[in-house]
Amino acid sequence: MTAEASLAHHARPGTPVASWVGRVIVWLGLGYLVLLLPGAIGGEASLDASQAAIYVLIGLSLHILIGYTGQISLGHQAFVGTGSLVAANVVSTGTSHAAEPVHFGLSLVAAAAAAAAAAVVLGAVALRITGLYLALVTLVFGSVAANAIFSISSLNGHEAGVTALRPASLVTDYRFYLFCLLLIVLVMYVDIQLGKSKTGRALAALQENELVAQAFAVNVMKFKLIAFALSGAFAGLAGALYTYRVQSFSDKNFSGTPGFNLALIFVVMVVVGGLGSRAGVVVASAFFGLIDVLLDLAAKHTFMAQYYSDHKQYVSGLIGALLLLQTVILNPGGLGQVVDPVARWLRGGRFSLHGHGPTSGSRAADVRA
Amino acid sequence: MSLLEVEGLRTGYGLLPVLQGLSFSVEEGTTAVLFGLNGAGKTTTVNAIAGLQPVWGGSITFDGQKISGQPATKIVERGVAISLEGRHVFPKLSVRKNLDLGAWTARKTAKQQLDLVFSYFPRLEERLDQMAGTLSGGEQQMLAIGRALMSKPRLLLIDEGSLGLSPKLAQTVFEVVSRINDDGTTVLLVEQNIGVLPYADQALVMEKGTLTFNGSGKELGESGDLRKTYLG
Repeated sequence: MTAEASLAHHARPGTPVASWVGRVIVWLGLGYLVLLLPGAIGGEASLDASQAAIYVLIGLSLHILIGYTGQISLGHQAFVGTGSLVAANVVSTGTSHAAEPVHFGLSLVAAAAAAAAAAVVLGAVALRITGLYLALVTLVFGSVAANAIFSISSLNGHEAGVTALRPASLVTDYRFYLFCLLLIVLVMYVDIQLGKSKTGRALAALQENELVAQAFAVNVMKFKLIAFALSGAFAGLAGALYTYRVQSFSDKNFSGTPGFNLALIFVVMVVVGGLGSRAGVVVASAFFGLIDVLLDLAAKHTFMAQYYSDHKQYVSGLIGALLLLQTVILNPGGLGQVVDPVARWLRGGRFSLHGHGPTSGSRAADVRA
Repeated sequence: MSLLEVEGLRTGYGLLPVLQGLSFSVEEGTTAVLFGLNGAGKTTTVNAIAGLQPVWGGSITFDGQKISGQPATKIVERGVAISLEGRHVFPKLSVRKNLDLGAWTARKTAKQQLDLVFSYFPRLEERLDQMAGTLSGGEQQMLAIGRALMSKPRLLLIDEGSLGLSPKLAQTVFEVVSRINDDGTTVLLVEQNIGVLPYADQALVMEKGTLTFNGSGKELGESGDLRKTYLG
């Protein structure tokens, strides 16, 4: 076979070489979109992208509870808020100087620890309840935390907010955004290792059937608490970034109607992403983090601009509700049904919308189950 | 001393009593079969032995040690495993992961037990990476029993192992259970299928939460009235 013939043979569409060229192009495109584009656009783009990254962290944290153990939480904003509050109070010096890197690092650890502790408390209360009752307990917990803790005057800056400046190395929004991405990588690494570990196997068993898991000596209480603690820690970390993104903490973000809306959006983005699908949750969370920006952009150039401007606060919620309905009725595996095959292909696997092979289904669970 | 001794066992659901003073024992190395109509309390009995059903009164002793009141996790560690009614495999996990979860308390012997399970059910080895939910009913039953064996139990409880299986497949399951018993594991089966009778060293018949017959499988087979009343 001549060199040209050999090249033509290898370059035929569908051959491994062509597939890998395709993969490299998609990887490069994604790399540019995620790593470089926010910095290239400039302006508020990095701040907007940071919000998407923070929502991804929140989505991943809530996914540990809902996706791995089937424990619904309508109070997740309380854990994010706890992290946000603690980080602000740990780092705040009352001056206009940038935070010391040590204080900044400490504030992240403290935020994760405090939110994990709050989550364990809720987890201990919620150990023996599921479904509607669990949803109610978490809803009340979130509301009580918001009204009781976040409104303590000495912690919330006497209702004026607590200033929490970033360290000098993260002073630009773009650098802060890259830091958020770094934490996503860290959290995803822990998440993936968790899935492979004994704890991951226990959580998978719990999600499928608690009674059976118990019949094989899986300690249901212990592993549920581990799930709550990890979920809380990641949410707390996201909360700290939430504070540093705008460099201040405000209790009003997490209490009252805004807090309740956040709790709903967090649950919606995990369900729309697909329970059991990490990649789906990442994409859906990023979308919900950017939804206001995207709607602003979309509405700006249409006849809907004025209408959108007047009803801005309802539109994203409406879209969330519609996506939730669409997921529950038509697409119970969520975005994961579409995103997982792409992610699998990008990792070198075969592209198939029907799982790994003829005998396996998608990992994304039916949300109606 | 019997391997399993149930004495005056009382339990139920909410305020409704199901077992009202149930007593029997199972000798080590035997196959005991618990017969009875629907609602007789058979499943409640094995669930109580496995620690999945709270015990209201009486006692359950395994190998001379009281296990009633202990959590299921401890009872598995002591050597009691259950294959639940309705199979309850983890449908979205592979056969391999299902079996792996069965060996939760017995990591050191997992490999050895896996080989043993494959010797009983070669089909599971062929389906190792297949999602359990995509197995046929018979294969799921094999998996449920295989998973229970992974903890290397001394007493294996199998609740309705032949439920929903064709007579031929049910017979295959009984033959494998007989091999498991021959290899040294004591077995307590809950059954409504009379085809298991030839394999029963001990037959127990329950009615409304109490025992109405306790004898050998042969005696039950020969007792026409009992057989007609309870086994059809």
